[in-house]
Amino acid sequence: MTSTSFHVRRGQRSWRGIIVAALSVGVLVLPACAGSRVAGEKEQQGNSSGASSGTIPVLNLATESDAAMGSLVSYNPFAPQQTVRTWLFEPLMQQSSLDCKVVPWLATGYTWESPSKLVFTIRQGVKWSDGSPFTAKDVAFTYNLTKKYPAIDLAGVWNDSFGAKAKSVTADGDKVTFEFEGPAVTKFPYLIGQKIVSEKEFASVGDPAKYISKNPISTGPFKVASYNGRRLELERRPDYWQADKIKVQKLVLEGNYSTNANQAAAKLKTGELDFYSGEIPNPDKAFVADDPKTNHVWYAANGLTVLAPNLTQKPFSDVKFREALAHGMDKQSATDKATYGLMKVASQSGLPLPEKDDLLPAKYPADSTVIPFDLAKANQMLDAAGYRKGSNGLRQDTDGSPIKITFSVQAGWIDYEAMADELTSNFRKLGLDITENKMPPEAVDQQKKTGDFQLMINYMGAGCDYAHGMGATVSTAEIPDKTTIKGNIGRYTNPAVDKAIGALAGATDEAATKEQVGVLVDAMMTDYPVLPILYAPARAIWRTDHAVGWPTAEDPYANPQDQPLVWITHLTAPSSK
Amino acid sequence: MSSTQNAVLPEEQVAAAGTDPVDRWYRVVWSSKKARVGVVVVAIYVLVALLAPVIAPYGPTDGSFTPLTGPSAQHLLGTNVAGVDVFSQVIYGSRVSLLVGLLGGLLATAIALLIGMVSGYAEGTVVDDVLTFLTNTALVIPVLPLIITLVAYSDTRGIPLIVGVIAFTSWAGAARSKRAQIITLRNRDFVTAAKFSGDGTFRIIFSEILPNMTSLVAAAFVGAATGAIGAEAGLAVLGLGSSDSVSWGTILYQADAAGAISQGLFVWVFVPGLVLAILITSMAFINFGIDLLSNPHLRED
Amino acid sequence: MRYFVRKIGFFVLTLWAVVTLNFLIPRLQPGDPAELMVQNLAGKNAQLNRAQVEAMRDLLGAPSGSLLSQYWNYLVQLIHGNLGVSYTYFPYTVAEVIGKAFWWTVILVGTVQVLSFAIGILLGAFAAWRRNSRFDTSVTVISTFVGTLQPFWIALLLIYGLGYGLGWFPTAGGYQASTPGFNGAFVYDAMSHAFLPALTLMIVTPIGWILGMRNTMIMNLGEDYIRLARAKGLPDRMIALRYAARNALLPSVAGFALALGGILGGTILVETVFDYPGLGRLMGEAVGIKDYPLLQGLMLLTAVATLLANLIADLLYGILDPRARRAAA
Repeated sequence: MTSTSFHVRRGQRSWRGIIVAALSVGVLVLPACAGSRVAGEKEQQGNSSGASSGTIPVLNLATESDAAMGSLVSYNPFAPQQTVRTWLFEPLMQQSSLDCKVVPWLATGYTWESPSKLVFTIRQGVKWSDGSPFTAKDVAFTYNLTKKYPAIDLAGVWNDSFGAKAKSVTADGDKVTFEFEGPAVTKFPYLIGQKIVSEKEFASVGDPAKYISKNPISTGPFKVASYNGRRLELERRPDYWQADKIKVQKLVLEGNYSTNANQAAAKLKTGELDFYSGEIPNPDKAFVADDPKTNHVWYAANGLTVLAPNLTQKPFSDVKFREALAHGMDKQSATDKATYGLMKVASQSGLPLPEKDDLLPAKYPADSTVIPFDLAKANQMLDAAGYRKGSNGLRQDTDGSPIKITFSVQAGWIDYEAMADELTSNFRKLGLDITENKMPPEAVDQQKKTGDFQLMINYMGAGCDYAHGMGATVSTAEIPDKTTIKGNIGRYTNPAVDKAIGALAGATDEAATKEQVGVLVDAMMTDYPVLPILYAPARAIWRTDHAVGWPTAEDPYANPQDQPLVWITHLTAPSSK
Repeated sequence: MSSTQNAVLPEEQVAAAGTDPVDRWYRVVWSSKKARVGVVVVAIYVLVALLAPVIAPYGPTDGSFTPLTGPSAQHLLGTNVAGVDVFSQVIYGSRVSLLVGLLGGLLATAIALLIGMVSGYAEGTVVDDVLTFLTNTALVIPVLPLIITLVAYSDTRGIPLIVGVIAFTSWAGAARSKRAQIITLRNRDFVTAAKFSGDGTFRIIFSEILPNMTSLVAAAFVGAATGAIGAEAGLAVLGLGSSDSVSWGTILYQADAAGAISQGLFVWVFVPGLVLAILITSMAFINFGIDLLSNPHLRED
Repeated sequence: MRYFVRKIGFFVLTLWAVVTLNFLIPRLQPGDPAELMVQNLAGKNAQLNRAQVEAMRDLLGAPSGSLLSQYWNYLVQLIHGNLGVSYTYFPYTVAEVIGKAFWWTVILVGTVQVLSFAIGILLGAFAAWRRNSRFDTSVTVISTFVGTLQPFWIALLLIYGLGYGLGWFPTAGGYQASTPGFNGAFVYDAMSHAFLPALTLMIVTPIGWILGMRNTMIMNLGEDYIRLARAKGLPDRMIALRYAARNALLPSVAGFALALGGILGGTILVETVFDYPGLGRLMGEAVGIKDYPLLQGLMLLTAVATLLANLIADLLYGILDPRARRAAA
């Protein structure tokens, strides 16, 4: 009833609607006209790309809001759905999750004066898009805003989620000082990612979460030129603080392919899309093979997909059993099926290698940490550990009781399903009675909370905050509770690991970090709390006919998926043509 | 579709069915050429389903082949992402579709019969009002969204759940037409006679009236089964099908999710959709024959 | 009069039942919207950031109080026309979100339904008139076959055939470069984008009308009054159009009202495949992301539309056909 009355109020639109309806009848018999229009547009783009000298006239990207109704516009960087996520507001610093190098952005530098005191030096000469100067005060304002409204504190500065909570954030000259109640080094990767907003725009809007921003004041390289609810055009800001590095004159963001990867593949092929970081099935065959000179793909190792047994249940409580499973997984076949062979099999150390080779303790040579698939060895280990085969050919527990394993799988996540299918058939060959239970992802989440499961596939972080990335999977504090999903779904506990994770919060230099990460690696290599299968990707699929200089496997200067602001400063026009 | 159209027909036309002893219902059905074709094709499908292990070259979950190959002599329709032979999946898929059709059709018809007949027999009483209210409510709730919601929310997704959900959301239309039919049968002499001899309501409905409606029940069943097969495919295509078995809808879903067409693997998409359409068409053809029962004018004389 | 009062009474009662179901279904199920939202924004290959989940919970505001008091609140809000705030589009309200999508679907599907109805009635009537002719057989067989194809499947073939293969039509979105409003460019833009989704739906919708019309018409052609007309020597064409077709139309018109009410159901997949900015796509998204308020709003809208169409069909029937009034009273 109510919704209908709503539409009655918007009655004036209906006339337009009726006329469109009437006219669209006409179009049904006029297919050829529509065709010529599409062709004309392609032509136009071809011309514009050739005319440039050093600059890139247009770059076509997918829309950044993954919602269906693009026309519900909001540029508010605190909103769940933002019309623009990347190009308007900027953070203090950028850190690639791949190599953990920190790139100065709105801050030129930082120092940990103690593990609980962090000082940033704020860049001078930056201008907001309305022409007013950007200052350290804006930075302090932003962080204090997230204190006042916990609903927008996405970096968790003011709660104790990744380290001690903040006491104060103050600006003084070009310095912004964070004081924490205790060691908070582990907060750094999240904290620097906070998008900085202007005091001018946000001081008077009330609750920023409920604010609909239509005229954003931002520091980023682009500003909104036009938006018709579908096609968003952003134009380069000549007064951007590193405008000399921005060769792209205009960004066109159009189309949301999150539910429709085939459309994305087709648009990439026809050149209507220059870069895409969503999922496209088998990009090598569906896209690159089409024109290997122009079409490229790079899936960087960004985390780990692991097999997570529930350590509170037999037989997974036995480390020997878990070790045998680690040898009995055909990880190569799993990655061929789940990622079309694009991702490498993962190291048992829990670190993405070779990117993080440096962090491995000396006693573990990098290549020895990837456990090879060896059914005979796995069988042998199970025999030795006392899991003998019964008369039915199925393995029994050490006390002679039957083993029955249920593997909880997220239905509809096709890569997870492919991995689960492969591992299940591997384990059956070991004589294990295992069945898959494919259920909705929410139901799997529920099992993570209750701990009422035996085996599932989980994601293991591998960012630059090892306490929360890798540590979350093995820390006692990260065992999920009834209401919250946390990382340690297998319920692993190890005092040495907990101590190391605590120490990481106070480790401000690399040597100290490496020492503590070594403890975590040790636990992974000897206790097998989870069994890494393959690396999870940060995706990049792109064309080089309009722009070159993208991050690649050979030159991984940025995480292509998370750091468009970094790669946009590297893009240049293709030399010839 | 054709069965829903039936619901719209005025009641009288339906009443004549099943009362002519000479015209046995199966003879009437067989007299239609379309129905004959339909019966034969469905029979072939049933055979394929029964003989799936003989016909299919490989198991439906045997992922030991090279993933994503095009059609070849070994793999007529190629292989999927998991390295499973698609042709074998299609063959085994007939089992899921037919099973869902059979069980879903039976369950929906049973619910429709129970509610429709009791409601129709008790026409004008509170029982009728309550049941009619139930039916109308079920009729106006948007079916596909409701199914999606129910299935997406439930913990495990086996065939029983799919069947249950489909039956639960699709009985209402048939119940409504059953009610209309029984109202006209109720006042026949044999019912009045049974009433006078003191039989109970349920006994009258199920042992006196029901046998006189065999053909109508059969029509309702074929309609419901056709609907159930279509609904299962629709769900599976959305990724909400049974998660422990592969149906044609599931194959389409997998093909789409794996970007089959952008990789040039056309048959992977084409064939499952086609076999599904042929089955549903054949069942609709059978319904043409059954329509002859309720509507003698349609007979091809 | 009693007939109309009863029908309206039923309408109100059913409306209440639908509203109640709408309230209950999402609440009976597991899943934390805040976690789902954060996971959805980050993608499945990302660690759930707990700070973000906490923030999201604050943002969405967890439902408080007993189920009964929540229900009461829901009803009160509903009566005031408040459908709540969408999780996905926070802080936009459900009404605003639905309003954006509403006309896209109504125009697309409305056009398709009207066309299908017209084509179906014509073909059906003609097939019945030329019964058992080659025309009749091909119409029934072909329409049955194409009518049973999966819309999703047709959509895929069309996208790659007419969209990418031949490049005739845009395959995604509702419009592209033009500014929404009543101007030639936009209307043209929108129509060319609507073409493939409309064609997909056009392939599957007419079958019901064709077969329904054919059956009723054949039946009417066997009625006494037609025989009488023939005996009187009236021309064939006049009998077909004036008498048989006209009388056969009544049940189809009633059915048409119902079909218009159920516009949303069949479009979820088609709109999703074509990235069409309508209600079906929105519904698919709301189910996927567990945007409960939005999902409730959409289901309510659909149910109310169907109910209203039903009511109008019933009332019309009661006016047009006194027998129905008597039978149901």
